[in-house]
Amino acid sequence: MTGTIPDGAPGAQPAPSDAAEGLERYAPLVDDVDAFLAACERPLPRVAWANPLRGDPEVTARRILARCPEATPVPWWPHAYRLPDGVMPGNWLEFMLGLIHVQEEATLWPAALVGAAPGDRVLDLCAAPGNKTALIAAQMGDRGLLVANEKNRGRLSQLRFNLERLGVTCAAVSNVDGRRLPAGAPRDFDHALVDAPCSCEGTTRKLRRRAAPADGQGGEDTAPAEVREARTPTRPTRPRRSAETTPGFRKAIQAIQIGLLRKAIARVRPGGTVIYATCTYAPEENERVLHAIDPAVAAIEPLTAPPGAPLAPGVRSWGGVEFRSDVVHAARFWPHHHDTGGFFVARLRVL
Amino acid sequence: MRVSESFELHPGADALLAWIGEHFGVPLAVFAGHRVWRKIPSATLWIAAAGVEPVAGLPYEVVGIRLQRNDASFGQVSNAFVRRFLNGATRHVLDLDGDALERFLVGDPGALEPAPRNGYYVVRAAGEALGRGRVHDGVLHSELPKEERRSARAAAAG
Ligand SMILES: C[S@@+](CC[C@H](N)C(=O)[O-])C[C@H]1O[C@@H](n2cnc3c(N)ncnc32)[C@H](O)[C@@H]1O
Repeated sequence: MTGTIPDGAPGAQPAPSDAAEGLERYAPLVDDVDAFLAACERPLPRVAWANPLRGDPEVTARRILARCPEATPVPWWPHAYRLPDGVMPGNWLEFMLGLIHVQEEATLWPAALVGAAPGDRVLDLCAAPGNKTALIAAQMGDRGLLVANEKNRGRLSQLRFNLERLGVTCAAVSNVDGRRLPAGAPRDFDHALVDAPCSCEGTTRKLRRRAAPADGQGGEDTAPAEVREARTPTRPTRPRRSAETTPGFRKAIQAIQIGLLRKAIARVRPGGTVIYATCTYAPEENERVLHAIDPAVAAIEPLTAPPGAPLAPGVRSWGGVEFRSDVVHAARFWPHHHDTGGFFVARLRVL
Repeated sequence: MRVSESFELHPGADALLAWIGEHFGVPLAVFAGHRVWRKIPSATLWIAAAGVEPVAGLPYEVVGIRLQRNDASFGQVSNAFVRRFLNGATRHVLDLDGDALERFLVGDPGALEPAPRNGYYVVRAAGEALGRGRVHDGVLHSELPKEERRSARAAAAG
């Protein structure tokens, strides 16, 4: 999962003295602060899942296990396997052929929550590089309409590369600012996903690319970034020290997140669902964003935890602001609970 | 119908899919539930699920996956199309293993015995379509893109 600083965000602000200090602001929300901070320092495991749009996923699952017998099944996504550190699935022929996709485990869940079915119409408003788009297409059995929108032109090629490699035909890629969708357009989607740009604090465990080309052949590695990342062994990055955790950034990004969520809700039919997700712990970018939605427009639904993956509820208040009461139905993934990246997700039912 | 300003349903879709079905020996049912779109003005052809249609305010850059680079030729289908739709090819298909497979994956031309007729082929290994090959004078030329050949080299290296 990657986020980007959107246009309109403030420029460089004084960085916090230490990013860990930044994460410590969440101590009141965490059951075990030491375990949380320690987990943020460990490498982030990846998951390879068999692409059901390309052949028999049982057969592909066997190929994953033949490549990596130590891989262990993810209990809540079919034919998905957790890979041990150091495994480079981007080098596997199965990856090149689109038989598998590779991503971080916690990011499977928002897509699972979309609950799309064959023939549905789904809007993925912030889609690049397409990890969740691909999962939604798999849920749809590649039938229906899946609009994969991405504002950042530079990230379109990764999105296109992944969808084409995985053989997704139900997707159409667009390149607009999700906040600028026309007002009064028809409510023509059954579901929407807003996997919003954010401060990405939950990705401090994210992968880092090796300096040398992964194939040892020398020369520049021209493969798309997704391939390069999947080829790269896991190791933790230093927590980010950047403008992305300053109050100014949070305020700007929050306005963007609220704008995106409102537009998505406006495009979904009554009774349809909107998933809001970020990879940050910041309540300003999570519960506060949900709080900006009129409860008469969309209700936040309770979620059932995936087997073996404990969830923490959304927080009711932060920074002196009390949020709408149903934010507790949102879910937080903490890295020390299930060895994932940090993640926030909520499902809204459009009224 | 136009998906956006830049796509229109391809008027020659039926003829093209019939030709592909015949050439590679796949039943037309393989393409059921899909439609072929032509991008304007580039004339690249795209195949997308039948549910793909225009929506307000979201002009499309791409629909589904690329079928061909242009609407004039026959046979030069994209690698993505080969993998998604032509796994079950029964004609113009080459099942490779060993050195011939290795050469195809890394992009080295290789002579085949007996020499197949000239033309485009689905190249398969262990029942899996790998991509498009072109046979000329008994030599198979890989038409995998460069980055994929590179991935294949990496895969071969373990
Ligand atoms: C967290 S990432 C999405 C990850 C993606 N859903 C996946 O699973 O692979 C957020 C994306 O939103 C894009 N974005 C930022 N601002 C946007 C906007 N106003 N409209 C649409 N997309 C936007 C970013 O460029 C980034 O690619």
